[in-house]
Amino acid sequence: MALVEMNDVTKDYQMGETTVHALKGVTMQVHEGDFMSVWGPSGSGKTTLLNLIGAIDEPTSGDLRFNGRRLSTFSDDAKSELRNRSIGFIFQTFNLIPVLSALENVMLPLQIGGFSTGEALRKSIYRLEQVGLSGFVKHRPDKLSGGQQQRVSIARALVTKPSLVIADEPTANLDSETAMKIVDLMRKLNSGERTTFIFSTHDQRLLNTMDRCIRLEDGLVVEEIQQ
Amino acid sequence: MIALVKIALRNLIKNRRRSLFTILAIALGFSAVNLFGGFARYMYLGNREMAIFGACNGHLMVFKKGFLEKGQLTPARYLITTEELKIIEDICRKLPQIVLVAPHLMISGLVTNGKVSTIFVAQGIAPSAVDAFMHRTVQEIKEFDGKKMEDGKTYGVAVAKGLARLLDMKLGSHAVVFTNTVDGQMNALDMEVFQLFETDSDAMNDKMMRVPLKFAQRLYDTEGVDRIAILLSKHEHTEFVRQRLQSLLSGHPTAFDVKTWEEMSQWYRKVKEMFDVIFIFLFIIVFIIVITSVVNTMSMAVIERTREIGTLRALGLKRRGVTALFAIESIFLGVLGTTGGFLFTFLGSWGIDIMKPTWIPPGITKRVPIMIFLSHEQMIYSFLFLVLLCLMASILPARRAARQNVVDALGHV
Repeated sequence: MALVEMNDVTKDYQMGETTVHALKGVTMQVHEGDFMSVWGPSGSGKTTLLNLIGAIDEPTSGDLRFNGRRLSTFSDDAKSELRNRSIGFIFQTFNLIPVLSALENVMLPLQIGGFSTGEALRKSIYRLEQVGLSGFVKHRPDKLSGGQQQRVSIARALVTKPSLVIADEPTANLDSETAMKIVDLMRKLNSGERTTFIFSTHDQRLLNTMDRCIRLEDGLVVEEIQQ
Repeated sequence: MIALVKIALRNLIKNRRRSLFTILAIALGFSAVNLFGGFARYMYLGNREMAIFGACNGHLMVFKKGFLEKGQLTPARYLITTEELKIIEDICRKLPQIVLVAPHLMISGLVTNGKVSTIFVAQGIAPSAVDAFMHRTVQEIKEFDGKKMEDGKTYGVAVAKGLARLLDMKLGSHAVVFTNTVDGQMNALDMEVFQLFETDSDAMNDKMMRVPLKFAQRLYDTEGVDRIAILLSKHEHTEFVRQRLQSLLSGHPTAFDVKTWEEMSQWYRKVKEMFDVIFIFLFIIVFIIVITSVVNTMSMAVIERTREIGTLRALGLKRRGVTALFAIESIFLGVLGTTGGFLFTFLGSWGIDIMKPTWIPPGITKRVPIMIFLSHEQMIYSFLFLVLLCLMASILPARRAARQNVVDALGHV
């Protein structure tokens, strides 16, 4: 069974009197352990697709299942629980909580999920060590470089041991060297822990490291490449 | 929850200037309400003391039924006789809450210094009873110049300063009072000014005297009294003793009315009403300021932190978690504001104690100190009410934050 299954999924947005058809019937699957990307030009629907998979948006029509369960039947609270337990997010702009330290940011999903402070602390320190930031646990985001912030963001996404990590253009705000280090790190986590990663990107260097690439154009899957 | 508390508190510190203004608004509102409440309590207590002790009227007053309505027209008919007084005193002995029974006889007539005459109204009461009233006051009322009246010196009277000025009388001056007896005969008595005192109202300052009960009875040529003041050990017993007394007196062939000091003191009721209205008005202003400040602070926080809300939602925080986050911030504002309010209130009260400002209230003839009698109960209620108010003020912005679309919130710049 695929981790994520999409069948003829569409998504429309209302912009004033105009309806924008962001996705026009996407059918695809994400399998456990995948290290894959969705790529294509701006406005092709990459982010919309990831938002739907991440259960932070709802399709206009079509069937979207996560672990075999239809997402349209989930209440808002059930989706929140799904995101907390099974999905990790890595954002282009890192989206760390500015008033929390690196460690507190990583602990946050566990605390939201009801873990004890001690357990959250232990798991978070382990993840920060894993991303090479054990010396920066007390630093607030504004005292960290872009690459360090993105590593905190990765640690935060992985701390709950999710089935799926969604990374929306994770290297877009990073220089080439840092970007490649970040990609290597995620690749290691994918092969070491069998964590499923799905990216949206324009970055050709990142695309070269993927197992699967799905090209979107104008809201439709136009090509799928296995590498 | 710990994480939400941390985020809430740190965001308040991060926006310290805005938080400080909101906290100050709450603190000033809290202290304004409590300082004014403390001043109103002082006014209530002062007026209550004046009514019960200063005017020697006690907590309860017993009249013959109908005296208050028709006593002025036919006073003789409504006088309480010696026998009736004895019965009432015997009944009062059965009630341990009663500490003093003081018969009164109000008289009126003309007073002259030999050259000028004017009308007077006098309260006839035993000087020993006056002493007993004065010793029980909380504020230690000493309202006169001169020496104490004495039961054995029935000619020694107390004269209001306004009346003394009118007749050019000083301590030790002599004068003559004359009036009709209860039977309608003319009668006159010599008097000596033992005391000069201020009345608690302008209207009575040029008319009022206090005379020994025997003096009043001799002038009216009667053994009777027109009312009996009853002093209780505790103010809180007033209503209970009134009911007991009324019930015990109902077995007597003569009908009596028992009135409380509050029913008899129109002045107290009016002052209390006025202060209650001002207090409510002030409270409404504080209410509006606090609501506006908190709503504004929370709304700004929601707008500024839209992306943060989106991130928290993406990480799995439920809608009620977002609502709780902003509610916690509001509670912090409320608690910090009211804590500052406690500080301002104590500082204000302490400052007034040190400076001892005075004022002349309307209808009063002398300067009185401004004092603050803080009520711990009122402060605790204000604390709870303001914190609750802050929480309520945050509900709308917090709900707006919680209902935001996650994708829109994440895309907010």
